[in-house]
Amino acid sequence: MKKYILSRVLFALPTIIGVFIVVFFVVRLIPGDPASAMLGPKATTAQIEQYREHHGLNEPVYVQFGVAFKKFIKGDLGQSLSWYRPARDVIMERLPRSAELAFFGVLFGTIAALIFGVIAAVYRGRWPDLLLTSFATLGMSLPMFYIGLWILVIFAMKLKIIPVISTLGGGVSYWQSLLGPVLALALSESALLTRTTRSSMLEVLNEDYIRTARSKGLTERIVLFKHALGNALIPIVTVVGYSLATVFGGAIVLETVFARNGVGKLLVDAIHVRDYPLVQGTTIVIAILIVLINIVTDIVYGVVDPRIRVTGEER
Amino acid sequence: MKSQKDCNQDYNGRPMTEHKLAAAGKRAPLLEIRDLRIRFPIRGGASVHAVNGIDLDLYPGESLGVVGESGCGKSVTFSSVMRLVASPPAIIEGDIFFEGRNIMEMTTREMRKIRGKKITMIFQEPMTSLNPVMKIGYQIMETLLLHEKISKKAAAERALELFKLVEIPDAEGRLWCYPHQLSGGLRQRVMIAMALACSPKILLADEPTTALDVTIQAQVLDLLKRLQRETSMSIVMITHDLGVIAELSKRVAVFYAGRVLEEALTPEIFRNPLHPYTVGLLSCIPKIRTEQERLYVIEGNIPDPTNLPTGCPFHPRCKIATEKCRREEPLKRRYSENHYVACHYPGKITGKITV
Ligand SMILES: Nc1ncnc2c1ncn2[C@@H]1O[C@H](COP(=O)(O)OP(=O)(O)OP(=O)(O)O)[C@@H](O)[C@H]1O
Ligand SMILES: [Mg+2]
Repeated sequence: MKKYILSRVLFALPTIIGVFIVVFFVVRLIPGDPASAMLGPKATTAQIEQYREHHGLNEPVYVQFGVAFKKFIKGDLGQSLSWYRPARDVIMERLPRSAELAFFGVLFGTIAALIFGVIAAVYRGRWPDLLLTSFATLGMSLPMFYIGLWILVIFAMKLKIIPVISTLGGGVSYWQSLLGPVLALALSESALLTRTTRSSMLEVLNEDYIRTARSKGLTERIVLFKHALGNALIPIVTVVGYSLATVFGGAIVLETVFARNGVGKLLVDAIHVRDYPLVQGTTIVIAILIVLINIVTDIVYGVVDPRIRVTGEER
Repeated sequence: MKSQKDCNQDYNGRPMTEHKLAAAGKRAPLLEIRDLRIRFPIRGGASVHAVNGIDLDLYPGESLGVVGESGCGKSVTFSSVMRLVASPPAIIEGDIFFEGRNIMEMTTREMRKIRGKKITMIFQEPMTSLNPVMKIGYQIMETLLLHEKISKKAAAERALELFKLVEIPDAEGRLWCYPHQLSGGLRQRVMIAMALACSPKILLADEPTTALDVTIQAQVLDLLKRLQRETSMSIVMITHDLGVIAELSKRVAVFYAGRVLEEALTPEIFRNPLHPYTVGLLSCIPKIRTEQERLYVIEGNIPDPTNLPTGCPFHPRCKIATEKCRREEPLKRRYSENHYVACHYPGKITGKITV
């Protein structure tokens, strides 16, 4: 098992280095100059020149790359251009805000989707199924920011139970600041998963071992949630892993909609001011997280399905 | 069509129970299936008529064999005894009495107390009948913990005993395996162990050996034979194979197109088959020689269950069918002590069998 994880991590390294290289050059392709973006329209040519010199922006790109890459190998993401702090510190400070949003969003989205999916499968073709699958289709087709905006309109402006701006402090509790974006994320994550759960359950419910479970005298609840869902989870895990990996995309949008200071908003802001190290750093941190999530998904796969348990493990 | 009144009487007009009591040596049947009819509606308003009026009794401690070609309604009939046929979509009519109580009228809750405890079933497909993500020991313990008030530890011990009872080699080591780590034969043994867990009154064995290869088949049959000798439960052995019946069952019911065509003690059926279909089935067994060897072969296929023939369901394939057979459905009647047949011309085709 340890060996397996180690090999997965080693295989992930080229991916991460590849992401670093691509991001390094792509941010530099964006038109505009960090120095003038940073210093504003009133800056003199001399000030801009000095800024460029100080941050090494006057070196040829390959030299800049060499410097940045060497630092990256050592775990240093460089000095932010728009903050007086290392990019890594800024990112680490913001990361928990995004992580909690992603975690609770996917958690509640998954729980809701499992329940909805099982109900839809059991009542296949009848009204609960039609209702839930229509909602799921709607959730899949609406963009995340649109769902977010509607939640703002309903919960912040009509019901006034959450703030319009979800930053902590100013009489806003932790949970209040989370409610809006988590709800938006959960709704939109549960859409695809509800459909996956439904179809996976429908398939499993026709299996012979479900008949065996019923023939034992088990209650329908145990048959459904223990025997059927236990097996239906196998494709579901893939989709949950996929949503976890893509959730950061959603977080970027939702943090902007809800004005929440997470890495998503940090990335968007950093792009605006051409803060190259911060853009690179944020992207690379997200890439590493996605790789880790994929590894964890594969491990969970083995827990859920004993048939594909990682080889090398003793019985 | 029989009237309602007929259902509670035998074919000679006497009350069913009294007559059957006599037949079975004064014992009341454990399970009585009365005029069971099951159909599955399909598109276009038609239905698959899977079971078309089955009457059958099972006595305590008896081993009943059920033979018939594929699709003649064996699995559906006995699954409905466990109420495992989902209705809707299926339309189920008739009565099934277990220990005198009508299963069809029981609540789901009452039914759950019977399933897995008093009546158990093992299925045709050992490879897929166990939950692939649960350890097999746990799957057996689950039944025990559900129906008997015992601790987890006691259940685990009992599961191990059951594994030994069904002769699973290296029982301790196998208890915490997953199904995919076991061969088909072993999985069927696990299914049997599971079915025996709560010492049921009735074991419904639905072609337990069909999916296994020949040597394993023999082993599993031996096991069932031993269990039948050593326990007092009634066993219904469902099979295509008259050879299996000859070995395991005291009495046979021959199914065809969702009906029972002939019912008799096993030696009697081999010695003196009355229904042309039974004669045909017997002459299909290569080891057994009939007098008209190879003369009597059943041609054609089983009737389409969405469009059953009028009259006798077997008449399109019957060599001696007459106009009467095409018009009038023969009812199952008594021919001799312990021998019943549904044919207008019973015994007209004889198949003197020497085993
Ligand atoms: N759920 C269902 N929906 C529609 N038709 C069904 C269903 N279950 C069974 N049938 C039909 O009922 C008929 C009887 O099926 P059944 O499984 O009882 O046959 P069988 O005698 O057990 O055959 P085999 O020897 O192949 O197991 C078949 O024609 C089958 O297609
Ligand atoms: Mg069958």
